[in-house]
Amino acid sequence: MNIRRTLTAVTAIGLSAVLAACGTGSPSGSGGNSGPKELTVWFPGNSQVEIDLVTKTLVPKFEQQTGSKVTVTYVDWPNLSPKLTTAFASGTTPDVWGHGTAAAAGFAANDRVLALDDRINALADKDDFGGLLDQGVVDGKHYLMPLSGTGTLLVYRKDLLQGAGVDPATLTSWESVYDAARKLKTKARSGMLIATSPIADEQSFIALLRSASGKMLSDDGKTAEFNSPAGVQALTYMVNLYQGDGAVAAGVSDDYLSRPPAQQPLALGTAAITQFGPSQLLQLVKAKPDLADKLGVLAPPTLGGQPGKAYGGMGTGLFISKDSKNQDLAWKFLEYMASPEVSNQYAEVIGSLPVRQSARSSAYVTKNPLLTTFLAAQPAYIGNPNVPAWVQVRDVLSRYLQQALAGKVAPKDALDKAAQEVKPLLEGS
Amino acid sequence: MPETTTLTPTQAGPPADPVAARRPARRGSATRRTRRIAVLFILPAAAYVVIFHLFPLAYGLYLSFTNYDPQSRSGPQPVGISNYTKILTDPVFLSSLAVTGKYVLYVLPGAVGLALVLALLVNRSRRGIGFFRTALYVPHVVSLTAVSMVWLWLYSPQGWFNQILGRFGAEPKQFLLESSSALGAVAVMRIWKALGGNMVLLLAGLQSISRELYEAAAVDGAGRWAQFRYVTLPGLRGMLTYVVVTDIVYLAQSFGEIYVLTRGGPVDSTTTVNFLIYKQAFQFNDMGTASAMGFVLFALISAVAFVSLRQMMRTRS
Repeated sequence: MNIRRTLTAVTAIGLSAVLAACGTGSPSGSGGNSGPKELTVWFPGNSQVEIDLVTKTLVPKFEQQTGSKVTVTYVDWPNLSPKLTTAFASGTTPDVWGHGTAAAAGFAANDRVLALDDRINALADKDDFGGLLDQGVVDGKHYLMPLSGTGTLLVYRKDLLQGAGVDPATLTSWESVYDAARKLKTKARSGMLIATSPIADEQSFIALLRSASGKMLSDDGKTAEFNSPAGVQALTYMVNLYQGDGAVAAGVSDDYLSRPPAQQPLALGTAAITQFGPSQLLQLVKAKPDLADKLGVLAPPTLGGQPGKAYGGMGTGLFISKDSKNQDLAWKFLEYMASPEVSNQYAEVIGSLPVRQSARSSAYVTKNPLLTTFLAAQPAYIGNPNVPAWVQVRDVLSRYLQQALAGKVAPKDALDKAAQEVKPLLEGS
Repeated sequence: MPETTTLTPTQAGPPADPVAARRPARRGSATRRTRRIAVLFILPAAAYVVIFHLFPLAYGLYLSFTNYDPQSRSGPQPVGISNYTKILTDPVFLSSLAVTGKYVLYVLPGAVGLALVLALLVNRSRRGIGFFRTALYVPHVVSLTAVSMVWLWLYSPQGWFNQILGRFGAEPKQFLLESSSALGAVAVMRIWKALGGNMVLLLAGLQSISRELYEAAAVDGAGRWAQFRYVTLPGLRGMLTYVVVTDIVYLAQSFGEIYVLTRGGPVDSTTTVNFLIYKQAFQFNDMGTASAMGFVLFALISAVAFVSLRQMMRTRS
């Protein structure tokens, strides 16, 4: 009898513990281990220079200024969503976390993040962020404070273009870039590579789609519009780079952007033109200084005569948890990170575009002429739609883009099927 | 109401031999004490199994009948069997089942067959044989993620395989980027990784077969092949069954190598069920559907393992 009672008690205690651990989380239980002057902050990424800057310089300075204690955790990008998911489930969400804009609508729809409108409107210099603040808007409310800026443009090897008799000044449209790529292609070299790995393929697609004056979704975000004639034109362009007699690129779906700088196709000479972001370009130049004078950047090319667009804008932004017990301190941290001096220092270390317009004249920008075109292209940068189901919509679209890029499905069919499959996701948004 | 006890005639009078009468009572209390101690020893392990295995399993089963999204504040809401009906008609899930099955079929023959050949080769008492046994076992002790990273480079355009192809004048091949070759390329890596572990198990099986059986077979005129066919294979059957069944169970749950080498691509050609579960749960926050996928996979693995076990044990009998 005693044994049975003991067993029952132990099992009950064990199950209670597990049930508590598996709870769905409540506002009162969140906020990590923050006390009155404590903040928990998750930054995405694993760059050692960034980690050193943030944890050894920026955060200690903030702690000194505010008399607070900030616990910073760096979470590798691929692990960020799984860790946040478990944090939501267990009620241990950090006070502040960094993320891309793609997740903003999902967080907002589930009431997980704090709207920052009042605080942003009170900023004396909010116009200094240009249009970046608008990329964190969901249903008319701001949720993100920009931490870094980015853009994806075509970067070329001047020596290879010269060797093939191509004048970079003539490369103003996607059509002219394709013609040049045909001349540049050899057995061992792709004429041009664009990002076609899953997820990156969607970013390449939206740049071409918007350049052809197409739209990803309807204005209310409830209907897919990417299967329009503009969408078919954009995807056909991408497919023609890799498939058929006129193919100018090898290695469809190759995630070349994730390779180390010295292994980049531009560094190896296995491609003459590739899509790049500013930080990847600066890393490449750092790894291969002899290439610095041999690289050039193209402004967003036009498609079908329409003004060119490029994927870019806000790279990473900071959210404040709705459950944070220290929202005022969290906001001070966001303000601090986005302040002119700190944000410029941060941009310089990670090699991103500065989030402030005033930083265009900073030493960091002026000593890196390759950044000039990236900064000049800022008005042409476009982001993804902010709808709650965006991550799933993007995954479905990417799956069909991959099928088209592999030559298994015609572009029109791929986009129509994707539009059909995302319909319930968008309607439920 | 007070309890009443009726004494039977044997209990009524004083025992004829008091010592003999005390013996069962003492034995009974000793048994109870032993049982109590046994329970105390078992308790930590039992609590561990209940808390960390059975409860999560039961909770996962419960979640598979809900629409649980950890991001949402509403918690799990019951949706009946809709997650199961949805996935069983979902072409992506059905494709992932097919990919998982294909992957098991690609890896299993190589991982077991080659391991058996290696086990036979190192089952000799030659000088330096220990070195070869250790060298062949090394891939087994290295983490799957680390091995996958190495093979990611081997398969890259600048990797060894393409360098070898280049020596023969062949164009570089994108092993992991073509849907026709990606799953096979991952399978080759997995075979290499599994060889050492399987070889050691089969070597242990080989060494448990009595030498006398081989001597008797040789006396009866059996050649090498006949000895292998009628002595080695029957003697190894138990270990082979274990190796095959555990390999099926592990391979059907493959995730790490897929995550590192292909992320399920190209065009979903390497998306196994476990990889899809990961995406569903942690990219789309759809824990209900992910749990349902997990239980369908669990049922299928159990069924395949059970059939394999039955088949191999029947052949043995």
